[in-house]
Parts: sequence; C-alpha cells; structure tokens
Amino acid sequence: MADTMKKARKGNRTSRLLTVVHLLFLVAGIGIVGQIIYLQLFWKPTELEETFFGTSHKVDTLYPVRGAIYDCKGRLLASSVSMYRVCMDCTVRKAEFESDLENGRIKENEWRQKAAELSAGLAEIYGGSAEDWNRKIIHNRNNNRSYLRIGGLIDYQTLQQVNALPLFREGPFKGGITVETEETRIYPYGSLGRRAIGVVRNNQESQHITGIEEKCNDVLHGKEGHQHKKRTDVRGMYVPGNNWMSKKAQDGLDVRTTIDIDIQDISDKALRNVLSQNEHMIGGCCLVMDVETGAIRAMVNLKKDSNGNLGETYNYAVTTAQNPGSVFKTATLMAALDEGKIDLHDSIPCMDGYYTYKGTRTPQDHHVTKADYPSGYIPVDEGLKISSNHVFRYLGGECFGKSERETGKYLDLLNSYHLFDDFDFDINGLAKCNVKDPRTSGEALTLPMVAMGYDMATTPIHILTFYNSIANGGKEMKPYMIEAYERNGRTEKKFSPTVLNSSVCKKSTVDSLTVALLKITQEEHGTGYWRFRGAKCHVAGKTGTAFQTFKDPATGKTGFGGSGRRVIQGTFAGFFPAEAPKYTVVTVFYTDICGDNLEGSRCASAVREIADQLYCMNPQWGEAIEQNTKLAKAGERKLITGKNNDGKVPDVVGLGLSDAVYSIESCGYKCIYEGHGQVVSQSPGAYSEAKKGATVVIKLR
Amino acid sequence: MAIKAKKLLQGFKDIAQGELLLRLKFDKYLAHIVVVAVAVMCILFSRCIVENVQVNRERMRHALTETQWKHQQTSVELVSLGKMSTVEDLLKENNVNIGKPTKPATMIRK
Repeated sequence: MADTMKKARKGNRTSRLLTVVHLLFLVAGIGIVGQIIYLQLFWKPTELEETFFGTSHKVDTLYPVRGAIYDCKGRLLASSVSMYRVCMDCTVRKAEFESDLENGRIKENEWRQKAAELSAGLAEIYGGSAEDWNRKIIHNRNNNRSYLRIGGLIDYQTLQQVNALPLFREGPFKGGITVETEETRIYPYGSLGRRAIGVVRNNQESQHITGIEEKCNDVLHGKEGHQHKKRTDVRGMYVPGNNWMSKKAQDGLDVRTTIDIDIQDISDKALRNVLSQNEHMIGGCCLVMDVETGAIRAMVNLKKDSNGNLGETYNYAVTTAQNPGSVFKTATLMAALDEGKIDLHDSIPCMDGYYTYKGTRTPQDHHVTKADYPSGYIPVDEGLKISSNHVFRYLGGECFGKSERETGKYLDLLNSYHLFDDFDFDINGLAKCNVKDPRTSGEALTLPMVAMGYDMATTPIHILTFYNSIANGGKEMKPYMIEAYERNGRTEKKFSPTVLNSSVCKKSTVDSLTVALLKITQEEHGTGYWRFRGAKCHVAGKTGTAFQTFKDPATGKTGFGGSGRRVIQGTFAGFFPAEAPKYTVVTVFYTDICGDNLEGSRCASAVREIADQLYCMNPQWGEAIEQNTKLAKAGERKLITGKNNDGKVPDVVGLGLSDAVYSIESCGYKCIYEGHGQVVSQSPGAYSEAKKGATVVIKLR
Repeated sequence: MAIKAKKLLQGFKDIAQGELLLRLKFDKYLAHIVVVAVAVMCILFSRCIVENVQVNRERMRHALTETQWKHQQTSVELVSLGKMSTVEDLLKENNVNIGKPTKPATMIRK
C-alpha cells in the first residue's frame, strides 16, 4: 500500500513536470506563430534590413559572346576577350576608423601607409609617378569621393598583378578595389587587313563598324538571353532562380573568311614599299584573288595621314570608282577580238599619232609617230604592249563607232564583263560604277575616250574581277570574302563560289589576250618589262596611268589639270603564273596634285614582289623528283647540344641544316651557313675551343 | 450554447494539458504526422543543400569564365607572334639568317 502510494505520488510528479515542459513549449510555439504572422503581415523592414534580410530577385541580361573571325586556314583574325577596368573606393573603412576613438587614428595611418605602397605598385603597372597616384587617392579620401578610376582597360594577367598589390589584395571591403569587366574586340594581327576585316569596339557597339564585322554583324552578334536570379545567404552571391523562365544567350557564329593572312602580310609590305617611293602617292590598294574560285586572298588599303604615315584608314578597293585608264584597254581589245573585228597581229595605221573621229581630231599619241614606226603601221599587240592611246582610240572608233547599233553592242559587251555592276559584295560601300554612253553624251570623242579607259568610273575590285576572267579561261567569278559560318569548329553555312559569266569571250580570245598581256612584261619596250625582268615566274598583266579630274585650287577650274599639275591613278592588273594562273593581282596608287611623271608601272613592283614570294612559297611549282631517286643517307649519330657539350665547338659535319644550326646554337655559338644539303665543312673545326657567342661558319652541299 | 461553451472550455483544457490530439483521436495518424514532419525537414534541408551547390556552381562558373578569358587572351598573344613579318623581325633580332624560300620546294612524286 505504501509502495503503491509512493508510486502514485512519483507518477503525479512526473506528470506535472511534463505538463510544465509542455506548457513552456506551447507558449513558445504560440509566440513563434504570432511572430511569423506579424513579420508576414505587419512588419515593414528598413532599407538596410531589406538589403540584408529581404529575399531579392533580379533579372540579369545574358550577353552573348561575339563570334570570332578566321582566315581561310583557320588562323584567328578577330576575337573577343574580357578586359578589366579597376576602380577604387577611396573612402573604404573611413567612417569605421573615425568612429573608433581609441585606435582609429592609428588604423587610418596604417591604411594611408598601405595606400602609399599601393601607389608605387600602380605607378609600375600603369605608368605615372607614385606621388601622383598617392595624391589622387588621399585627395579622394579626404573629400569623401568614393570612385576613382585606376587607368584604362587591362588584361587578365595585369589584373592578377593589380590584385596582388598592397591594400587591393585585402579585397573590396578593406582595400576598396572594384573590378568592372568589359568585353573587348581584339585583333591579333594589328592593323593588317583592318579595312577588310573591319573594326568594332565590342559586341554592344552598333555604330562605326566597318568591313566584314559590319556585313556579318547580325551573325557575329548572337542573341541576348535573360536569367532570373535570387540572392543567397552567402554575401553578395546571386544564384539562378526559376530556370524555366530563363533564356540562354546564344553566342555569335564564327566567320571563316577567304583571306590568307600570309598573303595579306606580303601584299601589305609590297604596297608600302611602292607608296613610300614618292610623297605625292597619298594612298593605294592591293587585291589578290584566287583565279579558280574568285576568293579574295588579300585586300590591302593604305592611306597616308598628315604625318606621311601609312595606315588602313580608307577602303580604296571598294569605295573608289575612277577612270581606270589603260588597264581598260584590255576590255576594248577583248570586245574587238571576240566580235571578229580585228586580229591580234593586224596592223593599224599610225597616222603620226593623230586620229580623227566624227570630224574631231584627238591629241597626238607621241609613242606612234613616224619616227617610231616608219612603216606607218603598228600591230595591235604592239599597241597594247606600249599602251598606245592612238591604237585604242582607233579600235574604239573603227570597230564600234560606225553606227549606233555597233556602239550599243560595244557597251553591251562591256556590261557583260561586269565592269560597272552593282553586285552584292561582302563589304558594304561598293561604289557606283558607270560609263558614259557615246550615243547620248553629246561629245564627239566619247567613244575613243571610253575605249582608252576614260569617261567612266570603276573600282579596283571590278578591274580585278575582269582580269581574273581572262586568267580563268573566260569564266568570270564573283569576288567574295566570306567562306562559311561556323560554330565550335562545325560549319553551319557554307558559301560557294558564284559564276558571274560562264564565258565572257571565246577561248581563242582568252589565249590571244594572255599572249598579248605576257608581252607587256616579257618583251622589251613593254610598259612592265623592266619591273618584271628576272622575276621568279611569268606574270601577264597591264599597266595603267589615268589622269583624274579635280578642282585645281590654283585656278579654281575642274578638269584634268595641266602639265605638272595632275592627279593620277596608277594601276597594274595581272595574273601569275601566266602558263597556269593561280592568282590575279591588282595594285593601285592614288596621288594628290603632282607632276605627270608617276607612271602606273610603279605598281608592277608590288605585283612582282607578291608574285615572287607566293611562287617560292608554293611547292606545287617546285621541281619534282621521282620517289625512287637515290639520296645521300644521313648517318645515325648523337647530336651534341648545350647539355652534353664540354665547352667546345660541336662536330656538325654530315648533318642537315636544321640539326647543325640547332646543335651550334644550343652550345651557345652563332651560326652562318651557305649552300644546300648536308654540312661538308665547318669553321672553326670540330672540338676546337671557342668562347660563347663566337660565330661558326658551315658550308653545305 | 452551453454545450458549445463547454466543448470550447474542454478544448482549451486539452491544449493546456497536451491532450488535444488524443481527444481528436489523432493518435492513429501519428505515423502520418511524423512522416510529414520528416518530409518537411528533408525539403528544407535539401533546399539548403541545393542552394549551397548553386553557390559553389556560381563560384566555379566565375572561375571557369576567367580561365576561358585567360585562355583566349593567351591564344591571341600566340597568334600575333605567328605573323610572318613579326617572325622575320624576331629572326633578324637574333641574328639568324633563316629567311623566306628563294625557290619553290622540291616535291617527291610517286
């Protein structure tokens, strides 16, 4: 009984204890529920509380990465990279130090000391003096200016150096560093081909774009996306929120062009050599086209600035339409030959250099006077070779000037050569081309002038397309620069070569023209002979020197100027190797007001340089040897390098050139060689003692 | 009315004594209540884990983007060194006589 009562009393105590615990939890639970209701319905947070405790959502715009531009062999011409702009909050922790009455001053002085060290680092990286940087930082801190831009855009490696500087390495909340990222367009080859490739600052820029960047802007740009983000408890971090509402950015497609950057480099150098010959040459262009496809392998445009420095600042190749001059004579000859009006070896009366057409006499051509041609006749191909104006005025007038129908036929033929077409080119801004119609011009000599390459406007790219049709056996290809659109190396869209005219003329006409053009560069008295003498391969082409109309500031009159005051366009258009053409090249220079002694054959020097280099670089034109020909067997031997060298000149006799040069230079010597094949002798001799940096001469056979 | 008041009072008594659920005969649903409570805790716990993973993923994404930009920058620098005229200048600076070919390469034909 007593035990039972004891147990009952104990049970009651436990029950009371549990009841108390239960009541405490009940009160706490009611309190929590009440607080939740209060927070959800009645509580309004302050701005600071909202920042730190509120659940924040935002919608970020996802910017696409602009597509890259490649050359025909996949080398990078343009790419987007991230550049960084560093800024500094100079007032960081200032309020904290000011409120700290005990140690605030000490901490402030420490901060300023670190700022001085930071300034020294900034001076090293960005330039300027450490004192200037320190003065800026302290001035901003004293005047509570929280934003100081530190220099311009820098790359990732430089950013790492800046991040490691004193104060900045403590992070944004102690050091005040903030970094803004900016996507920037970068061109690894500098200004090479700038007008053709184009320039754009970044993917957001929509103005001041040129070249292929402009033409393919929609493709390169990509599509923006957006993403919903929510803030997390981790300081400053936002993570993706509702993915079903987000849209991924689509990066731009890559563009593969037809440009070959090596050919571009060679052409650039060649044109610069021409334009630096004379101060009056204010600019020029050089175009190289693949004969079979019409692909533009190089487009160089150089213009002199006020200091005489050449730069790619104006696209002459596409936007300048002027009288082409004598290079146009080939078109007249093509029309006359194809229509059967004349033969290449037919002779034309010289008439002492004068031609009268419709009662009007032309100026004298001083190259076909009685003294030059006592017989009084000059063959047509000879006329092209010496670029006689008289011959082509005569051809124009006699072959196509007898009736309006014939003149119309001549103009139709010129139009069929696409010399004045407004075709859709891969760079915007193609100039409008035109030719005066002799039937309606009201001037008697329009037809002879047109036959010579005047009274018209055409661009270098049109001239290139025409000459390429001759090189291509009569098939005229449309010039193009964009080969394909790609994504991650896979072709999304490919552009094939386009035929403008499958046969501009008969095959026999093409052959005749090639022979005639070859004479210009290979035979004495040809206008291009001296420039191409000794060239590595045969170049067939035509020179042209065209006077342009201009307003003379001295007289106020518009016209061709007078002796000693001309504006000239010099041209050379041709193709090589003449036997089996691979490339067509056009080089043009433009002058300001100058004397009339700047002949177009100067351009031929650039074409010669390009042809020589491209010819030597291409093994398809090399000698061929049979596979079973015996060659000297290279012996097996250990190569002496800097690692196993005992301070003596290594033995390189019997080695090939690359092994010999490697062995000598890795041992610390300089190498000079002559000849081809294997090393047959060396000086100093093998194993002789020589100081590091000495020269070793080797002969190969 | 009196019955309702009596019931209300009984209800408060049950809450105070912790016998409300027993009164409502919820003891047979105890397992369900426990399961729901555990499920709610799991959901909250997994959301925390997901958020942590997302935070790490964002950190990795930033690091990856920086690495990609660094790679792109290095590629651009390397490409610019491959320019023909740059190579020529570098060879000249180092007094190396190697230059462009003076004739096309000889081909071995079958």
